[in-house]
Amino acid sequence: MQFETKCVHVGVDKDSNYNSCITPIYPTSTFRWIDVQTNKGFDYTRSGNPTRRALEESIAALEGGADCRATCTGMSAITCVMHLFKPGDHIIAGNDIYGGSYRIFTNVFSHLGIKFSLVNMRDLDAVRKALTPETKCLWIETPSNPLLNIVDIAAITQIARESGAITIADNTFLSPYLQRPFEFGVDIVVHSTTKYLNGHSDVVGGAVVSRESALAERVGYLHNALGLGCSPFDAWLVLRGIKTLGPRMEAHQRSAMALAKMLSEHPKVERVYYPGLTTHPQHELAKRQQKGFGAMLSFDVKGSRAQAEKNPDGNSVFSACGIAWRCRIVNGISRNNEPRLNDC
Amino acid sequence: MTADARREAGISERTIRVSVGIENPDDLISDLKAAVDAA
Repeated sequence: MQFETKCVHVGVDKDSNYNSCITPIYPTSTFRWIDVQTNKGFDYTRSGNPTRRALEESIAALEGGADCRATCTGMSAITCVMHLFKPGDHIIAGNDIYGGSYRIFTNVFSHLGIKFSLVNMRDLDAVRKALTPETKCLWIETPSNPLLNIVDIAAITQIARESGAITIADNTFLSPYLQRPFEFGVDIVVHSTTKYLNGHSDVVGGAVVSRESALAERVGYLHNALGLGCSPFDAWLVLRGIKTLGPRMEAHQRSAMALAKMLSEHPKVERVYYPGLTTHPQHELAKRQQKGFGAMLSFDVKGSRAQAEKNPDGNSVFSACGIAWRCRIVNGISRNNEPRLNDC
Repeated sequence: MTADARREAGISERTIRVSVGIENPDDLISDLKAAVDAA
């Protein structure tokens, strides 16, 4: 079955009562048992729910993994996988990762004893140098947010294998339509489904997909123990969004390329960051490991910050990611002059 | 991220990120072009 066909046909036809083609929403906390020994596969919605399960089947099929767990946010997907590690374990990640990942690594899980080294992941020597005997995970985010740097997935998984660590890839920005990290040996893929998988800017969610069933089993255990599952309604929305993932991504990236070209020729633009441009330093690598270049791009405006803050509405900052276009100043400053995190 | 961490990662104060939607591309180009023209 081809990718677009899986988007439409995996996770549907679950209703044996009325044969509805589309998976129903099952908003129930508990499921009745047939007798003290048997149920129909579900017991309690924190542990499992038919609507959420349908979404998990869908995302696992699209990434090509053994299994998936759907979470209530992208950050709860990261929370789930961080619990694979224990105090003293060491994780290497990029120094240009998503701000929410940076925050949870440096201000939450580091307080629980997990150690992090944030390095330039494009520099494989820097990655090797950061390895310690305690390194348990190499964290891959490619393309990175907001600079659209590309990490060589196959090279990083090779380093991880040699050092006995696992690799976890955040595949939010390309979606499995444009990049499938398991094909390059990644062990776990995490998603914020809020972005392209759902694609309609009407739900926040996440997913953890495991390539092999042993890791999937542990992830499933943590997902239930930590209580990270998304609601049946949220699962249904994402499942609905996924059906149009392929055509949406094509439309997104067609416009992204046109915008990148316009910006790169604009006299007031200093630099454009878009892997689809042949001037992007890692254009060839992007071509090798991605099916397309995606729809996130950044650019530097010439001149002052005040000039960068001007926009069509005359206010500062516009914002996030889904069906409608959004712009945002990346380097926000809050009122107390502390760096502000752009959460989306 | 701290200001230092951003600088180290190469993120400038004048960096603008665009998440490109599925509106008609001509509308997107004219809106963004007008915004950058005004900068």
